[in-house]
Amino acid sequence: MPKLIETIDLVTNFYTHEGVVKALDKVSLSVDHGCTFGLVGESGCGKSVTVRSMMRIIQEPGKIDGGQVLFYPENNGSDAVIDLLQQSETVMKGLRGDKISMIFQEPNAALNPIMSIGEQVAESFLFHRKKEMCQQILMDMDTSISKTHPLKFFLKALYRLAAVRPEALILKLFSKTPLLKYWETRLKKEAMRRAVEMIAKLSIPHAEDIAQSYPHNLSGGMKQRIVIAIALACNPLLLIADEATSNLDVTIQAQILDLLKDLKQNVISSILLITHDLGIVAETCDRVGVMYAGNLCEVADVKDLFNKPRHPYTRALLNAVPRFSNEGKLQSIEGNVPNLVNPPSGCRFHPRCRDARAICKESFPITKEIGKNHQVACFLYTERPRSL
Amino acid sequence: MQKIIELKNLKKYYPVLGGVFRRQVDAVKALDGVDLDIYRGECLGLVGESGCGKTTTGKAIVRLHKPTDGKIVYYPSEGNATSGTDITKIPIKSLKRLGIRSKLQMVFQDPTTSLNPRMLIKNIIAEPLKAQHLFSGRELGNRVMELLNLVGLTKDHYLRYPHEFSGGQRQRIAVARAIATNPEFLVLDEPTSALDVSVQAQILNLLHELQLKLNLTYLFVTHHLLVVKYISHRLAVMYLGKIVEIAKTGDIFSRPRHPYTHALLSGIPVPDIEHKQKRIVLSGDVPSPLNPPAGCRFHTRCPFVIDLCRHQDPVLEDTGDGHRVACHRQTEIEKLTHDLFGENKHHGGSGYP
Repeated sequence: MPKLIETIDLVTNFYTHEGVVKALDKVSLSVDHGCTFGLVGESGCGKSVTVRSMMRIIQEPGKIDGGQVLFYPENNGSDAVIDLLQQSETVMKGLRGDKISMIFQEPNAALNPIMSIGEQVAESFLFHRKKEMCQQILMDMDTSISKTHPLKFFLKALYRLAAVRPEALILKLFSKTPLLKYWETRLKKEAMRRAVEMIAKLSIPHAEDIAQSYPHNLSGGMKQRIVIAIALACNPLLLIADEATSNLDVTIQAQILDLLKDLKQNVISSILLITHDLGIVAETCDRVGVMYAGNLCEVADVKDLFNKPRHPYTRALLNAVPRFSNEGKLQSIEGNVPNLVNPPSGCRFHPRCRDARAICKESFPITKEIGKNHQVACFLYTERPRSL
Repeated sequence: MQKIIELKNLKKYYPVLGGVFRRQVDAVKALDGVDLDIYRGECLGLVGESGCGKTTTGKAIVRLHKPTDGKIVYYPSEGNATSGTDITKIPIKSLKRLGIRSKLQMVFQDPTTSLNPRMLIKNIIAEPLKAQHLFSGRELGNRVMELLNLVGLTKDHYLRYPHEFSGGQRQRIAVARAIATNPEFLVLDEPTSALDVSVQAQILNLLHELQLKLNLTYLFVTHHLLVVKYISHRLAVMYLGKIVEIAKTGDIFSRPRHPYTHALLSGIPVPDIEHKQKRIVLSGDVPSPLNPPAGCRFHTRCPFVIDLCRHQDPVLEDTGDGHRVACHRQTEIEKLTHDLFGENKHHGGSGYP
């Protein structure tokens, strides 16, 4: 399948008081069209920073210091490429929530407590689908045979303008002035109608009532569904789910995972799933990337990764996960995750690695293709250090 | 087997105040009649979803709050084994004098919030010893060093502050503090859920070693069934303030009898590619404990609900071999799940013998 999004040598640093936290150290990964990519790793290994860098929503004191994020919106393999790091903020705002959207970990923090659920879902339609909705309203106005509105001519002119240039200055003026705001009601109604439709699509019963309610009225699982509804409102090409289920209970998590699977088949093209739970990866993903301390150590198809893990960290991680089948003591990885202000020299895993050799302390290995779609960055499989 | 803690019809209602005079208008039924025996030297796992009363049970045993009703009987190791003391009847102040406080200790969920950031590690660990007047002076220092070694830390860590440690090390310090007074019984309230996978295994192994070394009894409270499988001998499953099933760990995994246990087990994502099982997805959410459903509390989400479940609350019945289930249809449950979901075998057996 053709690529959808790709990062090349992405470097992100956080300039804190204690020093520079080297959160990402040349991360290169790519997600294909129609693929569910899982990004796993322990907390603080840079999973979230990777996707936040891709979306360009890194907050102060973080800074993207190098690399490229290439976005290929066309599915047919054409060369239409957008380098997201070079785009202006306006373009990025248009992309976020439209072509690429994101689900955050904590639904309580992602939803606005003083806006009704319907308004929050409708917001993304109002932001990204203004043109389309105005055109539809115009068509409705033409076809409807109901009584003519006294301001019909005036309203029509506005909608016509919005359908062509939604960011026109006069429209902004009209939606800021109290009495003239009136023209937007029809637009909002249309957005609300779409929002209710969207909520109903996620198999939430009584969508109408839910749209009227507020976040505190809903349970955790329901809130997460609403967050998913907001993310899917504009049919994104890529859905990024950042620990979307880790705050939920087991039975609710099962519901949400099922929902994501259904959506994957029907609605979304690709999912980039960030999680620390290898179980979720095994069940939902096609491809997996394993991260450790700001490096991507291994990328492989899900079957290869679980059957033939090659990187020592992946192996150790798979052994440390509790399972149904294995007996006896759990294998642990000795030591702790390093502090990224002073990361270990060379390969960042070497202080905890059983197969560490002298070369691991000095330099970082290149990422080597060792099998079909299977890349590993470890000196067990290559002798070549990465050039600086 | 000798009992160490016995819960008899334990209830904890949190009042909901309302009106002008802040009178009690309702009650959150966090625990609604819990019966549980904990035997000396075992590790009992208590699992359930959030809000089902797991932590409330643990806190009631160490008397961090007073239960509304019911008994918590503690059988001390020395003295007559049959004469237990009801902890709920003892005033808080006498608990220390009677030496019960030092025998029942607790490890909390998040080590970042349970350790005082302004205290040195040596003071954190020495605090319970000082409070119980067990050691002083140089002896105290030696005891703290001994505890640090027990949990796998060294004397370099003696004079540091909690923020200098990683999550796993902080949890080790919290464990050291809990075992400082030579307790017999530890409540472990989600001790690994704030930790990473690689560190979680370290803490689980440490806890198991300590249990063997110090003859501890654990109540391991968690929401993650697979974690508790490695360390517990028996498992109790809770739902909305009641225990719905209790059995040996292996039995729970190989022959779960309650539909809720079935759903919990199948809901866990398994890190195995070949392991493809049909998942039982429960519809809906956990009902509010403010007004729990009538009859069996699980009936609103149960796939096998019959009329009886809506009216009558099932009691916890022994089905042989210490396997107790609270379900009206427990005799047919194996066939029912098999018909509905196909073969759903979990590999049984607990990790530690």
